[in-house]
Amino acid sequence: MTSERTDARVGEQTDPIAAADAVVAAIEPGLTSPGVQSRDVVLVVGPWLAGTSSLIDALRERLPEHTFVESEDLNPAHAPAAVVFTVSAIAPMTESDCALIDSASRYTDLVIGVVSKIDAHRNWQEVLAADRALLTDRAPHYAQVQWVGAAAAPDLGVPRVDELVGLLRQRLSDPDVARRNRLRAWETRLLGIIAQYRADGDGTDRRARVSALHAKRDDVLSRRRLTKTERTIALRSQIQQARVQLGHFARNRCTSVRSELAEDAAQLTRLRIAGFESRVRARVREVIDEVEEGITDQLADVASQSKLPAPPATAPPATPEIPAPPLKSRRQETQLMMVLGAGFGLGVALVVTRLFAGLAPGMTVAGLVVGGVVGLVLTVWVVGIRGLLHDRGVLDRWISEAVNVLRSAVEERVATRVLVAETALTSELAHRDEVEGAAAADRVAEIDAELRDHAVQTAKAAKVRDRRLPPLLEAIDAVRTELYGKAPVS
Amino acid sequence: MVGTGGRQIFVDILTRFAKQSRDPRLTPIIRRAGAPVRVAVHGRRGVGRATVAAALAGAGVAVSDDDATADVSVRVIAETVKPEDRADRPALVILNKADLTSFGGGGPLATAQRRAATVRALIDAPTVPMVALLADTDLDDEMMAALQALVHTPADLTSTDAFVHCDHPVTAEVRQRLLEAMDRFGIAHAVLAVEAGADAAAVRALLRRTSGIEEVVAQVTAVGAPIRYRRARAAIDELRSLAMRSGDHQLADFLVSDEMVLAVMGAAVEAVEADGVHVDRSDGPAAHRKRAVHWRRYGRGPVNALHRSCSADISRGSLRLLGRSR
Repeated sequence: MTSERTDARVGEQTDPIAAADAVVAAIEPGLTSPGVQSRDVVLVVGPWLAGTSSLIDALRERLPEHTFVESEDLNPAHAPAAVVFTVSAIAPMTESDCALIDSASRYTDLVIGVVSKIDAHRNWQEVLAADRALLTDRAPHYAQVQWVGAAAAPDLGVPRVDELVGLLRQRLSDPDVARRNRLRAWETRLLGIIAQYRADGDGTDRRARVSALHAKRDDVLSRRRLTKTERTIALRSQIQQARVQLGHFARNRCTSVRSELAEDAAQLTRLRIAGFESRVRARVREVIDEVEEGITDQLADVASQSKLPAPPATAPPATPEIPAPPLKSRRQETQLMMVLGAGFGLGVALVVTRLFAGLAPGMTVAGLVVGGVVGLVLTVWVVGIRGLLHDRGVLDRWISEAVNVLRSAVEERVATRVLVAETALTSELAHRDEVEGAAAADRVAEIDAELRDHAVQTAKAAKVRDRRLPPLLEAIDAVRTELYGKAPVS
Repeated sequence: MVGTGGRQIFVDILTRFAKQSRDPRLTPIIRRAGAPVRVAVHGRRGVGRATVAAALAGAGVAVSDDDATADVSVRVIAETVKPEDRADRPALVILNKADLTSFGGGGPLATAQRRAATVRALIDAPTVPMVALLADTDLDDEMMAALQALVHTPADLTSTDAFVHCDHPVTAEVRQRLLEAMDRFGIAHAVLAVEAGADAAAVRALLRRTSGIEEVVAQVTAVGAPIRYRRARAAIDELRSLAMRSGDHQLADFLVSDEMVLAVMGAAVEAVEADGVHVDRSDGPAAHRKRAVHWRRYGRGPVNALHRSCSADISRGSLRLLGRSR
């Protein structure tokens, strides 16, 4: 097969590029061009302070028939006819210099290494040998790189570029250069394609995305579990808290109303006693409304903290049944008081009459009248006061009863409403969990689909790699055989 | 007047005190405080790392082969900075082979100075040029005779190859030896010195001066100043705790003596100067007062812990000097 290709090359000697392309096309007809454009220029390249500029000036002067360019003047898609790589003779090349020559010699086989500033460095030959050894160890195609020393702009004496100029002239006049450069471009191209196939087949490019997807999937699931638990616990604790706080609030309210009304009752006058009952009932109603409002607010807070809609409104609270105070049923007591009061008044009247009779016997009649009046007045007053105090006592007891009724009513209200709200909020939460669970499941399914897709694509790429790689490897072996005589181990 | 060589003074007075008090517990503390700052010399292949290390060792710098035990990292470069040179953060960069820099304006050494400034901007570390080859030139009689001959019959110095291979009464082997020993730059300087009547010792001294080893050693000493200051402070802390535990009044008094405070001030001055901060070293009550106030204020500003500690020591020392001058 090699002999066939050699024959083809001899046949097409007029077009060395076509000859090089034919080497690849014979094995892989789909590949028509290495994707670079050959330019008849010499690229002079080297690291900072390697003397590239002086060397390029000297070469332009000595070889006017060739065009010399620096790397910034060359389009990356263009392949120079030759690469002159300059390094200073001060020290052997470093890894960064090697990277530079790697990039410069991608599409060009004709590479000449130049150790510059040899006028100043007494051990330039050792440096040159070290550089040559470094490059040879680095990659097989560097084994053919020729190295020369040069001093393009010495501080003293004349430039020493003759050897380089001679070598360049000789190498550039070689008719095989274009073909070899083309083959080198093919080598780079084929290596690139092979690397791409291998990377696709191994899923290297997808690896980051796939691991990101796995991480995201785990994240979605764990966050889902965590959110659910967290929310349930939060709602439960908030409702418990509301229950305690509302119960406390209701009891407090009842206690304060009880003390307020008791104080009022202790200061009641006979005139206001009639209106007191309705006042108490109004206060009870107010307290019930206040507690109701407190419950509504607190439950709305709970709902808004859990980002749930407020629990539905319930029927307004019923006013508890409070019997009227037993003020009327005191007949025996009144009769007793009348008797005792009359006795007391009679006594007072007697004392006053006797006092008058003793002091001024002429005024006995007047004393009788005055004694009678005073006794009557005192009787009326004593009976009245006794009645008022009794009423106050009755009302005080009644207030206690009424407040007890009120307390049990508001506590019941709190318990009922919190229970209703708990039921409503929990079911709302369950519903929301369900919706979010469905969304998470969708997300996971989406991720799974993408992961499956990646796996399928990678498998496809592996299949393509397995199909395409053998001819490509064969092609690169052929190219290398053409270039270096024997196919080096890749 | 604010002392130079702060560490030396510190260790000296500590040693003197230890001798007087005959306290064996001070010996390890003095040994730690007086330990030399060890320098690790790095550099890529072919830049003359070994030559620089040898020159530094010859100049009395403690060069350490082991990175783990080194206090200061010095990087040797030649001609240019490669990405490889920027990998670690060196405390000091030595631009070796300064004699091989192109002549430019003012000769290779002037060009090397300018290049060093560029490198300093690139790496952000103090950079000094050096010709390590010339720091310890070995001149025997044969070489001196060759130099004498070169005075009368100049050789071709346009390139190293020309110097060895040109026709000359001195044999090529001897010329090769001269080139190995001092390169073209050294040969040119040596020939001029010999022409002016210098003997071997004078030529060696001249080449040593030209090598820039003195500036390099000064820079190495400067970058080690913060380490020496820290060691001095650590020693003082140890001594103070020792004095408190043992109830040694003599040691406690010694630690607050003028002598001690001024020695620590000297170390502190060197430490801040190593970071490029100027310290007014003038004498006189007004200068002492001004310095004390300035460094007190400096220490309160946004500075790091080392500078804060140094400024306190400088301020304290200045106040002692002010008190003494009254």
